[in-house]
Amino acid sequence: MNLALYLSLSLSVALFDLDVEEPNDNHFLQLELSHFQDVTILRPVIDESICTHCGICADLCEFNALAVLPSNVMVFNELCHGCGLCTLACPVKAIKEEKHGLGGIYVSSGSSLNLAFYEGILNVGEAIATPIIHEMKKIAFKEEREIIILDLPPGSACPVIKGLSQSDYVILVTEPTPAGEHDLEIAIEVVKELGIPFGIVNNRADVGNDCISQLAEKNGYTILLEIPHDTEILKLYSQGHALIGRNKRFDDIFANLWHEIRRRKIE
Amino acid sequence: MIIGIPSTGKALSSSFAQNFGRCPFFIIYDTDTQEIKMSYANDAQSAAGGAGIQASQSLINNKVEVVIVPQVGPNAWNVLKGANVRIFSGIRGSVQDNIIAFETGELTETSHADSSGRGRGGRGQGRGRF
Repeated sequence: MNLALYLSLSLSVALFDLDVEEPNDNHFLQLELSHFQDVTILRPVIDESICTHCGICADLCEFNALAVLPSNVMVFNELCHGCGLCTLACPVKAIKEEKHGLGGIYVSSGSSLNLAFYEGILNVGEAIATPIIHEMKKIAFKEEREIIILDLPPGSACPVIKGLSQSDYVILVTEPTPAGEHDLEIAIEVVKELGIPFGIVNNRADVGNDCISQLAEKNGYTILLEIPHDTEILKLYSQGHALIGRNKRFDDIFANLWHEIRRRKIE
Repeated sequence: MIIGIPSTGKALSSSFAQNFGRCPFFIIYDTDTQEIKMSYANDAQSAAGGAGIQASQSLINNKVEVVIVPQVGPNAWNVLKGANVRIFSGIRGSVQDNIIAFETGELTETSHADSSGRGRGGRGQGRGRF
């Protein structure tokens, strides 16, 4: 978010908050958002008067979202990814699909800034984030901006993979702790598998231990930036303020980061 | 009566598994013949999600009337109950110990699922798995 804000001082930027389970960029940006589109998926509805309870649908379902009992079929909506395989496979066509709202996409209104901002929100109670990320990336690819920044959720599960794919460069943000190192190693495996160049930002680099720098040295990974522990940063963060435009020291952090990324991309 | 029991192996001497949806094996025991009717590796053990549902489905497909479980989540509970399967709380020990306890009436029939949340999960726990 801060990088997007920094770059928007001189370039046209679009920022996508793809952390749809708990989007937080706009806590700091404080932009006026308006509804852009709903995201729905299709989920199966069983016509029990036609169903023969043969069990093929439950057997094929990759997500165990269906259970076929002797006299009825149970659909576990929260597990359904909306792939439609059950509907295709049903030999007696007892399954029809109904649209189900998953969440929505919101966009910053007006284009006063050099920054366009999109936020995805998964409805409370829903567990499948990837369709929203998918729709947001479709928008991202249509955006005619110089820089597109995708802010992804932490971890290395499906939403992260969905968000990362087709990116030109990945910035992995971590902390110098055993937990940070563990999660970073898994994330790096994913990024390598996707074949995307990446660099590491080591946040609060001067507290904790030196595991991240050792990991990078051992494997030849790039550390783009080390951000020192700074109570001023924490204070601004806790007050809901972005870092950019407050203190030259903070602007320089992101100037350095951008410089390092460009240098690597050009190489 | 046909009983399904989660276990760590395929024999009556195998330990009673402490996780229902992700147990290594299921043993299907017939109290009429006093023999194992079948035992099989639990495909749901490595499911990304819905392991309890998949495990329950396999037991229903194998016509169990009773299951003995360490504990069971709400989804598996609903599937088993939907097929009129009776659910009993097992004891630590072997599969044999549990069959004996069941036959002598020492096991309690459970009246509700054990957790209101998700299963005990493989990769599933926590955020962002789907």
